[in-house]
Amino acid sequence: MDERIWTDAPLTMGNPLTLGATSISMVQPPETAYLISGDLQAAQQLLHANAPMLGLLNDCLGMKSYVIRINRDSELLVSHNLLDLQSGWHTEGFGLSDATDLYAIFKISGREAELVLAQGGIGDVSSRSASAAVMFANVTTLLVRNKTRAMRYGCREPTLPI
Amino acid sequence: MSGWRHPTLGASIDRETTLTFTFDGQSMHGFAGDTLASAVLATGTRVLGRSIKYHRPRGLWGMGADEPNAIFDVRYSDVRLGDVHLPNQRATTTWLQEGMDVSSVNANPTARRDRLGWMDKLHQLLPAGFYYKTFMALNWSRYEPFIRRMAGLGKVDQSYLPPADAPQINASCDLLVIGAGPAGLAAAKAAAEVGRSVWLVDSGTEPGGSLHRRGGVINGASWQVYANQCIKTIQQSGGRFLSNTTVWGVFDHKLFAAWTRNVQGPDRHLRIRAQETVIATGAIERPMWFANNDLPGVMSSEAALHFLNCYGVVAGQRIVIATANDASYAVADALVKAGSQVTVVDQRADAPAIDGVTQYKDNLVTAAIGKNAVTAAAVNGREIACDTILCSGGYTPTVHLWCQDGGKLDWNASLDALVPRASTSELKPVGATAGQFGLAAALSAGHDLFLHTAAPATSVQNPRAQAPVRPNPELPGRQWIDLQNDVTLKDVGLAAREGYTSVEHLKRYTTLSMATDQGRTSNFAGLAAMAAVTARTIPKTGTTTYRPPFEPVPFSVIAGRRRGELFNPPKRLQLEAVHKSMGARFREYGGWLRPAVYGTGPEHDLAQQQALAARTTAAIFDASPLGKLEVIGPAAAQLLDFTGYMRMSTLAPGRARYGFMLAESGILYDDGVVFRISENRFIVSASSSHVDGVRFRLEDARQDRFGRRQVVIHDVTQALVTLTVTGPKALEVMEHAGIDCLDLPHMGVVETHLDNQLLRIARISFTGDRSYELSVSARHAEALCTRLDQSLETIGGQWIGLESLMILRAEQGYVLVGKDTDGNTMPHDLGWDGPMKKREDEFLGKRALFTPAGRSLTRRQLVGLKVPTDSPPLETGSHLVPITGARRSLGFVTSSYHSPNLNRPIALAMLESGFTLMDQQIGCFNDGRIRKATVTPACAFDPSGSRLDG
Repeated sequence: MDERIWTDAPLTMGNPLTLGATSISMVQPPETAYLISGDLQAAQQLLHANAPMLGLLNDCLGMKSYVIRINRDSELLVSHNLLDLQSGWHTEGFGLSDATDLYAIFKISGREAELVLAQGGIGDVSSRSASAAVMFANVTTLLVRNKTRAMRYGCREPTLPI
Repeated sequence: MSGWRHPTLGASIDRETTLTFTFDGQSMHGFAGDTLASAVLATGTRVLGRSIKYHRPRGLWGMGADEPNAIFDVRYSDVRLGDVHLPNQRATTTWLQEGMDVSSVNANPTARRDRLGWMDKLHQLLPAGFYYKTFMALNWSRYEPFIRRMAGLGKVDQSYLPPADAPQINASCDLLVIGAGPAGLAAAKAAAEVGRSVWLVDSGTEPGGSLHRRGGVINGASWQVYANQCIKTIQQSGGRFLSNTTVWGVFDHKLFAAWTRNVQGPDRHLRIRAQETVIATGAIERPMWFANNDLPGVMSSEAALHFLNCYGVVAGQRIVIATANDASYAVADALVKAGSQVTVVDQRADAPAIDGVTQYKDNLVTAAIGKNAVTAAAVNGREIACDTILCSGGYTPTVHLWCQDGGKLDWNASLDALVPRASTSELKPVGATAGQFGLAAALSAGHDLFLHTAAPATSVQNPRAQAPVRPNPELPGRQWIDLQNDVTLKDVGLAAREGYTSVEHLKRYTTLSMATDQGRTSNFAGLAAMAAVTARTIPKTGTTTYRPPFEPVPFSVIAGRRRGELFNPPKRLQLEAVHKSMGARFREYGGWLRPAVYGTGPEHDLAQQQALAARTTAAIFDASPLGKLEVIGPAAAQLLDFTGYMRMSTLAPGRARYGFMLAESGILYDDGVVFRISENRFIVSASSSHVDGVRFRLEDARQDRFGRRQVVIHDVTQALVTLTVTGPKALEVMEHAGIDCLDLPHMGVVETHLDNQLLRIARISFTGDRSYELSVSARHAEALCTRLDQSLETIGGQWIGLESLMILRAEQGYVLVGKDTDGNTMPHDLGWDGPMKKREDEFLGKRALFTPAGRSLTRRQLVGLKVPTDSPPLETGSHLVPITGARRSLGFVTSSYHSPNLNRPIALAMLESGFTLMDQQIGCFNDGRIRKATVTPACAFDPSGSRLDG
């Protein structure tokens, strides 16, 4: 294989990839996002008491801020408002890191969106899981739904089964 | 000629659409809906192939994946696929298409007139295992070519590249029912009625399974009405029916692999996970064993009924049915009604009476008579003229999937079959798979799995138990146990005499049941024969192991789509477009697409020129792929002490330290710098290609040793963009860009703000010159890039790519783990033995450092190599050998470049006892030539390190 033959450019904002009746496009990232790990209950009480916790393919439509569950003791706090939280250890029992630009966000929409998900690795879009983390095209992703549109947060973190 | 097409029968064919094809050069025709088997059988053609070893003529035996003989090479043209060549297609499962050019395999030139037909005359010289004993005198490679030419199935056309476009679909369902015969239909319908979402899978085009050939009235209507009701009920409850789909394997954690055939488009591969699974895969009819039972014209009686009712093909004109069970009487009846002359030879004295058929009770077929096809059957010394012998030696439950899942089998003497042992697998076998033979039994068993109401009613009576039928060694002549691999009853006896009495040994010695039919028709006979010759019972004899695939699956289906570059897509830089606008040429490094050089012209020259500029002015490179693993918490220092070779708990906040991560074997896994931002917050800057692996190892240790309230790990590598400013004018570039860092010492780190955005500055160096690593959040990267670029333009300097950086780090003797180290390198091989000597606490890999291998005096160690100034660089990978004496490899060159700053070649190498060989000469062997080099320390440029503060 010629290692220098690659697509000219990665997928960029405003240039959707269209496959038949399905479209995949990059989405504007949120204003702020934070990775939080450790005692999530303590983090919730302190940082996001009112933000709903989303699992696999839960709906985030119209929410200004929400929390995507990654695994038992880590989550992604997403806000479309500017938050100013201190990265590092919080004595309440959790660690926090700025993850605002950590995830590329893709919107998968159209009639065959579910088929795209099925081929990428998500067998059943109706299945329930408290964690939104799934392997999609061999990449650990967070998958939530935006009405009829499936949205994923791309991430390359290997996640140990916990 | 024996087979013929009935004028009206055949529910699966469309007589309005005639399809023409050729078989072994002969022009033939069939109908839309035909399989290759039905189409060829209807023409009366009897010899469809040649056996693998003896080249005996073989005809059609079965009706599905059990077919051992009718294997064809198929060529045709397709609008979508172009010219198609499919070797080794099973005639019974391949649909006929217009213009197909079909040829038999293992035959030359045709199955009917095979030049190697004389091989059968040598059969006494070629028993089982003859090649293990015969071809010993010379090297096997001397025999192999002609044996391969003489044996084997179809030929691969290497010019034909089938499209790799089969989608891989991941799916999950509530209830998976495999097999849409009566038991599967009843189970699926009952489950749907109690609200289950059911996926019903069947290899046929329509549901029904054995009902297609056996027919039947269910709940007072035809079986088709019942089948349609079932599918409707399944769909209404949110389920689906997958036709033309074969579940070919069960894997760990209840993963089912299924292959969907598709004539119009690409096949599909499904990976299905189900909450619960019912297997209703039916049963396979066993052969009967008599002399010459492989002659063309000897067929399965169920197959004959299948071809008659589905395709309107009658197997013969004058037919003998050899049986020992009631099920064959429906076959006899159907054939008589179709117009054939039928004789039934039943092994039982109490066989039922049947009208319109000559019947011999308590009689056996002892031989098939004929040269290239059946002309008569020998029945207890009497010859009955016939063109076809249909056999029914009983039924073997299809337990492949059950056994693949780990299920065990029990011998059921009354059924004369091995059946699934309860509770040894979570799968639910039902119908004939579980030994519940007969339509009423199958419907009832399927229904009762999910509902306790009255089962679907049918007037079809369940058959009586079948009488045991076994191979009989007393009969004269050759009885064939495995048709596809040419194994006879005598071969089984021979294997037993030679000590291969275990069924697994029998299988390997004789190749019994190892053919592409997976032993469907031979396995039971082999077991029964071995049990008989060793005076054991069948359960004591045991069974062989069932492995996927259930039937041959094209590699193109399993492999999935040809992805090209997308097979392993590279990670891409946030600033890729900016680098491109500056003339960067990209290449993949450790999974990242990164600038190799900037500008036009030969790459080597650009790398040299840019490496020179970096040492005289200033240079900037994109270091974003460097890992940014945040280790946060009160136990963060403790975790890093355990996972690292260098202690990090002694690091002061605001400082950085170089360190190694070892594998448990003490081997170097990665190197990198650790920043301590605050008391409880560290950042591990893993090397670009090891970020995921380092993260995994850190997480592994964290979960093993610490609670969730003590330390956490966040990989935020891609949240930040890192640009490194390096060179003697690096500080000037920084100051001109308005970034205050004058007070930051070497190996210092600070988090500050630039334009109100967080900026992390780390003074660490991978070039040996004063360097600053600047990290900002990805959305602010372009602003930082512009600011630095403008400053660089004013101060003077260049953007450099990885090719220049490689030269700069090699000049300093800085290693790349994985390039300058190998699977044996420990930290002290690089000269880093301090922690090994001083640390008293435990750390990952410590014990291995003190093993005899770890402390060996002949370990390969990192050195530099020097060659004359005007000579070309050494070849990377060259073996290091002694100048005198016997030649042996003492190590190898790991990195080699021309250094523009030293104006001479430089090289790094791993050399046995290298630290003790300084200033000595060593040979560098490559491509048959030895060049001399002098062993030096690894660092060739600025060994005092004065430029780090320059």
